[in-house]
Amino acid sequence: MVIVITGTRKGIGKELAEYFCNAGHIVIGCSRGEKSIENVNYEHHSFDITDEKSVKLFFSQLRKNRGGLDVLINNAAVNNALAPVALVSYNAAASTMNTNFMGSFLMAREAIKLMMKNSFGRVINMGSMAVKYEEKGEAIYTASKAAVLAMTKILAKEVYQYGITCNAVSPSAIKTDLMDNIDPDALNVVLKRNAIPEMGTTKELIDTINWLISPQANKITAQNIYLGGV
Amino acid sequence: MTKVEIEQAVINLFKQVITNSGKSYDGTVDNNTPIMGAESPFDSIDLVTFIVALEQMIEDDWSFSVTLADDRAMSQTISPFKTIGTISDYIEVLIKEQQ
Ligand SMILES: NC(=O)c1ccc[n+]([C@@H]2O[C@H](COP(=O)([O-])OP(=O)(O)OC[C@H]3O[C@@H](n4cnc5c(N)ncnc54)[C@H](OP(=O)(O)O)[C@@H]3O)[C@@H](O)[C@H]2O)c1
Repeated sequence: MVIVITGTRKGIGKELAEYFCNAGHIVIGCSRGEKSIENVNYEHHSFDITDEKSVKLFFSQLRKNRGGLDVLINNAAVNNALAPVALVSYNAAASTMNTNFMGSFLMAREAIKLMMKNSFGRVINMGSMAVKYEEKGEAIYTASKAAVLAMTKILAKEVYQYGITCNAVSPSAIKTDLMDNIDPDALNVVLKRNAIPEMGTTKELIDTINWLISPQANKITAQNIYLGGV
Repeated sequence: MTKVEIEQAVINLFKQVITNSGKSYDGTVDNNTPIMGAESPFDSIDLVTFIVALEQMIEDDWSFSVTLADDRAMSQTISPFKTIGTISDYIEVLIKEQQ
């Protein structure tokens, strides 16, 4: 399959890209930064997913070079606004909403146009357990993920007739740079509320995505799957 | 790209979408044919299919990358998504800007 993953320079996106390349898929990754994966099945594009022109160009090249894509994993996200609302600057909030929601929207919009033509596609958006826990200091990040989840459900209804499913996966906490600014004590308190009270790994995320993109999951759509026993 | 060529390509694609969706349309297909609303043979799925196919045809055949449902289209007093004529006019505007 041809799998497009956003945010593959580091963190979860990089691990997903490496896994799917090694499993024999063609992975087309992107991030603002340079390529950090060496694999014959990997192709990297450096651009910002909030820039509409770059997103259009990316999909135009993808159509010419690969004839389209089978899977889009909207993984890239930032958390620039980790503070109580009273202390969040406009730009911190806007850039977080822009990357997490607008970027995912733009990528999905252009991806489904190509998927429609092939009458097949899988869109996987990355959610977060933050939406369930509504933690203080995470209002903007949580709102951006709640917006992604709302879009997931509605988009699923719009594209099912074209053979496209659209789901979200919401991982538990996984050790990446995104977690750097999270207070470990507060995180432990949150994790203790889960059925699985420890940090998650990319492994269970990969297993879930593998199932969602399989032919067997062709009637699983408009869902948000929480990992970690949330 | 002349206006007539654009209109002809839009009409051809309109007919293709109607055929592919298994529908029939008895009226003549010309600039006044509605692509949206109760008068149109298109339902919402046909309209999306049509607009996406138009964008891809414009890119493949004429080498212009356009987004038909852009901000300007949404804010026009006469929507480009009304008839074959209005969408053809809008395509002409977008192409001219890139020439
Ligand atoms: N880590 C967790 O515990 C956790 C838990 C739940 C959900 N998630 C979700 O999982 C996903 C991945 O998170 P992560 O922890 O792997 O984050 P991360 O380590 O901070 O990585 C984020 C990735 O996104 C890219 N990126 C950021 N902004 C971009 C933009 N505007 N355009 C293109 N690429 C951009 C970054 O590369 P560049 O800097 O080069 O652009 C980077 O590769 C996110 O959706 C996150 O919300 C993570």
